[in-house]
Amino acid sequence: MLYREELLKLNHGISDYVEQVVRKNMANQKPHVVGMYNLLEEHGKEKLSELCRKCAERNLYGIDYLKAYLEDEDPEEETTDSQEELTLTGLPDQTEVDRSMETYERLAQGGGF
Amino acid sequence: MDGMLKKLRLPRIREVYDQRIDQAAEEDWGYRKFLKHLLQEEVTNRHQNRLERRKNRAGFPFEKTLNQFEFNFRPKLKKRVFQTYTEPRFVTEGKDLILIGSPGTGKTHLSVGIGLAQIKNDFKVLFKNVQSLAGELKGAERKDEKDELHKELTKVDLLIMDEFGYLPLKEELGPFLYELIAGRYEEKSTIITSNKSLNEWGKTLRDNSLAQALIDRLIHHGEVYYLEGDSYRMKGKQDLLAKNEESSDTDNVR
Repeated sequence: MLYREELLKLNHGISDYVEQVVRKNMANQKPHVVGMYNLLEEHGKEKLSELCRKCAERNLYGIDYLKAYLEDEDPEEETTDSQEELTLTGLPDQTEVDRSMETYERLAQGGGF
Repeated sequence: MDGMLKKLRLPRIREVYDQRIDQAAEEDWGYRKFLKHLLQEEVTNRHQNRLERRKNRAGFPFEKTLNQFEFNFRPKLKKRVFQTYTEPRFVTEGKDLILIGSPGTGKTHLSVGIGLAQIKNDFKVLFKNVQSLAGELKGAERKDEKDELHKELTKVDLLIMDEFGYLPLKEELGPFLYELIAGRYEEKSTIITSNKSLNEWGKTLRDNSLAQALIDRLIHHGEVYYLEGDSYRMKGKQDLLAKNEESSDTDNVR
């Protein structure tokens, strides 16, 4: 795919992001790759690079996440009325689901969790 | 013959009838066996084409079966239990499934595997990334467009919503999701994958009562799994590192 080839040439951050998106969406990569190419055309390499970096840091791969960060500087910002946690009993804590980026890095270095 | 078979829309028979005539002569088939053979091939071919169309329409990000899932890497998940979700009754009884875990723990793989199996069971399946759904909803400006999207998502036998909670949703998506789940409740099956524990869903939907109501419906006939353990992607990387180390050791021996 020509669009993908063009994106892969841009820089390390963008090409890593493209590779992840393609790997995660093997059977449905076209809308993501074409969408990223359109972002490049409309907003330039610097902006695309910044969006890819922000999304990759949060493990968010796909054109819809890039667009979310394009439209909103901080789409993760929570509204005040939803700060309180739901009171559901017998559930694991969010910390058991979450894993910080450092732990991934440690594992990538061969350290394990 | 070709023209008539084309008119009658019998492409498989049109493709093979010449060979089958020769085969029938060689193997001394009777008229009944010959006709049954041709019709059977047409029926099988149509069935396979229908499954292929359904698979394409489902919009899976990749094709991986449940058998390809490394259950030994997730000892708490029992393959036998997950295989029950590939049975037709998972859909006919309108059951739901919630898979929760950090990125790379295999949630999407499991959901795709179940989805593919249910297509083989002749059900209509749709795979949607929640963020992509948010984009579609935003793009549907007119009410009839939103209704159309709602209808499409409500009528499929199995709806898989992937990556719920990766980003908090815009206010309008919460009520849309609730209506969707309520519309499918006890009738159709839904699988949701998320990196957020259930008690965090209020933050994702920006509305605790809505999240509570949504979870109530989902878990009434559903099950929740927390996938723990190392990330598959990291495991892949580790395997690669180990392989590289191994080959460099071998190189050193040489």
